[in-house]
Amino acid sequence: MKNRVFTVVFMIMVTAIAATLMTGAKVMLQGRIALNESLLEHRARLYGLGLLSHESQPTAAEVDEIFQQQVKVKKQADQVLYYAYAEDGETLLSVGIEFEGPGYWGPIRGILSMDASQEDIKALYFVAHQETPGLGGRITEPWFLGQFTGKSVSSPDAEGRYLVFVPEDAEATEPNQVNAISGATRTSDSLKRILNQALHDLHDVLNQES
Amino acid sequence: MPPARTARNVFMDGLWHENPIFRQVLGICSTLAVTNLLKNTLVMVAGLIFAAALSNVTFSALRTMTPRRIRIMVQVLIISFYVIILHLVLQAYLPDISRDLGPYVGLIITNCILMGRLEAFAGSHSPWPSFVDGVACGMGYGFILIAIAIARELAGFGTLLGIEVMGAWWTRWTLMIMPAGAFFMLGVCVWVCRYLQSGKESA
Repeated sequence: MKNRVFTVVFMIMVTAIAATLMTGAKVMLQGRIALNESLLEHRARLYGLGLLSHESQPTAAEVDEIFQQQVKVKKQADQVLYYAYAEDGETLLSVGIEFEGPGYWGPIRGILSMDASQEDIKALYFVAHQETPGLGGRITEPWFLGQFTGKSVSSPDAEGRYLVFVPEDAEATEPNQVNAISGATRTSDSLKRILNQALHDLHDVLNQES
Repeated sequence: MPPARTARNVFMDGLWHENPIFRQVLGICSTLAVTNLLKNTLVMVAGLIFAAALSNVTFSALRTMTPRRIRIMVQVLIISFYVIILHLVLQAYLPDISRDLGPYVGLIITNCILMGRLEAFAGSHSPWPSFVDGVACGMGYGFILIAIAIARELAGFGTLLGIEVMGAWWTRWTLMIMPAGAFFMLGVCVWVCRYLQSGKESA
C-alpha cells in the first residue's frame, strides 16, 4: 500500500517539476518567439511584394520601417491585399494577395504579387509551410521562387490555368511555365492549385475594383 | 558483477563497439528522414546529443528512487521535457533553422536511442558514466548520419551545406534524396562498419 502511494506521489512530483520548468522557459522565451514570428511574417510579405530581394537579411527595425512607409493593407471581399509603393510613397510597384491552401503535410501560406500593369508576376514568397525539408521544402529555395518573377499571367489559358508547371529539368518555353520540383510531385501539384487560385482571386478583386 | 568500466570504455562502446545505428540498430527512422541535407542532419545530431546526454543524467540521478513499474513513464517525461526545452530555445534564438526543421526537432522524442539508452544504461549506472554514454551514443549516431548525409546531398543535389560542389556537369541523382536512397546508403554503412569491426575482432 505504502509503495503504491509513493509511486503515485513520485510520478505527480516529477511531472509537476518538469511542467513548472517548462512553463517557466515558455514564459521567459515567449516574447522573443512572438517577435521572431512577426518579423518572419513581415519580412516574408516584403519578399512576396518584391520590395526586398531574397538575399537581403534586414533587421526588425528596417522591416518595420519599410512596411510602415511603403505598404498599404486592404481587406476586400474576404481577401487581404497588399499594395506596395516605391520610396516616394505614391508610385504603385505591385499588388499582392495573401493565399493559403493545403500542401502535402499542412497548409501553405504566402504572398503572391503582380506588378502595377497587372500582367506579370512580381514576386512570390511563403510565410509558412510544413513540406518535407529537402523535398517539398525546396519550394523556398531562391531558384524556385525567383523563376516566378516576370511570368505572364494576364489571362488564364483554355483550361483556366494562369501558371503551368513543367518538370524540374525541362525547359520552361512558354511565358507562363514554371519548373516543378522533382521528388515532390504532391507538393508541386498542391502548389499549382493554390497559386492558380490565388491569381484567379487577385484578378477577381482587382477587376471588381476597376 | 561485471568489472567497473572507465569513462573511456563507455565512450568507445557508444561510439563504435555498441554503435546505436549499426550494432543496436536503433534510431533508424530519423536516419532515413533527415539525411537528405547535411544542414538538417547536423542540427538533428546536435539536438540528439543534447537530449540523450541530459536525459541520461537526469534519469540516472533518479534511478534509485524511481519505482520500477513507472520507470517508462518517467523516462518519457524526462525525454519530452528536454526536447521541448530544446525546441523553445531554437525558436527563440535560431528562428530560421527552427522553421526549416520544424517537425524533426519534436521527433527526437520518439527516437528509440534515447529510451533505449535510459533503459539499458542510465537505469543501472551513476550520472557521470550515463552522461558519457549519452554523448557517445549521440556521436555514434551522428557520424553515421553525417556520412550518409554527405553521400546523399552530394549525389542528389551536387551540393554540401547548400554550396555547389559538383559543378554543372553533375546529373542530379534524384533517387538519393528520396527515402529509398537512405535505405541503400544505410545498408552500405552497416555493411562497411560491421566488416571493419569483424576484421578487428578476428585479428
